[in-house]
Amino acid sequence: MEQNYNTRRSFLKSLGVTLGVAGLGVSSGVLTSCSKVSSVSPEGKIRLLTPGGTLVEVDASQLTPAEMPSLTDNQKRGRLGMEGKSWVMVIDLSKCRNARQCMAACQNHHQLRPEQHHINVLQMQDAEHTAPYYMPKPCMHCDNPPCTKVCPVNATFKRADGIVLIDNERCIGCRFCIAACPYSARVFNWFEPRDAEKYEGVTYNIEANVPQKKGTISKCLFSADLLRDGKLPSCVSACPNSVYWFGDRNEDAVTNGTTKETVSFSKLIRDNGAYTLMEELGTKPRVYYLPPKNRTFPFEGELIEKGHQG
Amino acid sequence: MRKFFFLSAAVLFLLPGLQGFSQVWEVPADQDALKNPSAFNNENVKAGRELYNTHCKSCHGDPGKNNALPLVPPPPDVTSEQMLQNSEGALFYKITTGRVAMPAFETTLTEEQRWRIVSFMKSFDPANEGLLVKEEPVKARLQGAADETAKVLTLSAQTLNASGEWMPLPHADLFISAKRTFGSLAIGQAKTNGSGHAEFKFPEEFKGDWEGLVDLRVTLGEDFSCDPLVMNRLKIAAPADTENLFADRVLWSTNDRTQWWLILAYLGVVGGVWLVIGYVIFQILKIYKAGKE
Repeated sequence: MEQNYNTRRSFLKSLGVTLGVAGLGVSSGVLTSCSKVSSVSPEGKIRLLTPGGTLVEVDASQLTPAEMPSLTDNQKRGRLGMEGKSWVMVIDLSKCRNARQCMAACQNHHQLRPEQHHINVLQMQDAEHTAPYYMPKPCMHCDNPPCTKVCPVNATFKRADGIVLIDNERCIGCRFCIAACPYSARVFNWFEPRDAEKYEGVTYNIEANVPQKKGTISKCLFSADLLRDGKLPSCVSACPNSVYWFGDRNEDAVTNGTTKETVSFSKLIRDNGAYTLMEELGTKPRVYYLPPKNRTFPFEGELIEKGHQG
Repeated sequence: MRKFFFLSAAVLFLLPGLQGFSQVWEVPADQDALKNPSAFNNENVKAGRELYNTHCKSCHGDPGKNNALPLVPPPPDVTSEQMLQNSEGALFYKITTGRVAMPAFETTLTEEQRWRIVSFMKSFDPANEGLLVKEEPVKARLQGAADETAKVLTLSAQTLNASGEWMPLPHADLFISAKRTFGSLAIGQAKTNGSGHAEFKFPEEFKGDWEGLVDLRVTLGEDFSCDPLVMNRLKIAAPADTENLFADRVLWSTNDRTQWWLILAYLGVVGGVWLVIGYVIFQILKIYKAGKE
């Protein structure tokens, strides 16, 4: 019995050492791939490519491993949000011609299958005799979000800069939030996510919700990881028709993703008669729509026929 | 059979589309013969370039770089033969009406603006070479100070003359903008007086950060080669009313801002359950004792 116990202990010990070494190897591999080492010269100098694109030589002894946010740091940071910011989006319906570049960019960024949409371009016709139009519909990032109230495990939450996020490390896949959301903004990972094998072993980034996990919820998050880098969300910068304006309500400025023009947010929504979707529900959405007036593109979708509206 | 039907339907649906793309873009003769009513000068070409950058560049790309978006049909480069063979009237007509992926600018741009874009495009025509004498940008510099209590910017512009001396720059436009997260937001313009000085009254309602601090940039027009004047952290703007989403105890808030009724209800239920369990154990003990006696 004693003998047996010792063997198991030594086995566990050696296993721990092996795993630790393997972990070190993997992490150093990750570090080298990130700093883009191009070659090691004989004098112990290492050539590195800076983010600016210039090649520099650094003495090998001078190198320190870069600090990468761990999963818990990332989750903590992701829960707090960016201080002093209050993100808003304005969607100009008169410019949308259903190019669907926003949807493609979003699905690439957030590892979504073709049938999953964080943002979806819908064909709308408000009444029988009104003109149909295209309407991109992301998450509204409500200031009174019904979805976060129903989560039994505190996986989905609203943070200080206004973004509603989902933590798929906590999500149990009950889908209460899907039922609670009046905008149908959430999707469920019924199957293995797209390119699942490519993302194997990647640390979960809560601000991009990547890698996705089967059996959890995913939703639009205004590309919170890009915002942290000072970049516009991927749908906003992918649009070729200047549909999207994005910015900080505290600063009262929104920037167009296509033309990069910056205008006053309050003036833009005041002058163009902006509205929000289903505000009668008291959800206080953060996505504003400019009405489809003076359109630059004709509607080419299918019209709803009389009597087919169920 | 069903598959075949779908396939043929798809082919039938696609064919007219493809034909439409390959067809030459017809322009009515009267439109084709239209002449540009705006003069072909530096000012109009410059205005046209700005409009082009805002409305056309995203698809047609930078002139001469052939970096247009890969759309069907492909948007031609402004300097390409395909583009330049159009008459002024034809260009105007095409900008106005649009086709397939190209939007109709009839409602977004005024006639004047559309003609200016035509002027800009025609500036790449070899036939027009030499018509526009492009002036070398003049070297200039900007200086400025801010009166934070009176909310006034005092600016001065100087230019380098032929003998290498800095001289005051009169009657020049100064553009004042504020730094924002994703770009700079224009605040206003000022014009220098005869002695190269300008005053700019900062708008009362313009918002800075929560302290009223704002990062300003002052630039001269494109005719000057001049570093922008950067004035950081000026306490000149109105403080922004930053909203605190977690000020009230709301149902969706963070754990430490949970509503009282929810905390009390939760603790009540948990406490109640423990009380019941304790009561049951107490009763069992009592029965056990009574049995022993």
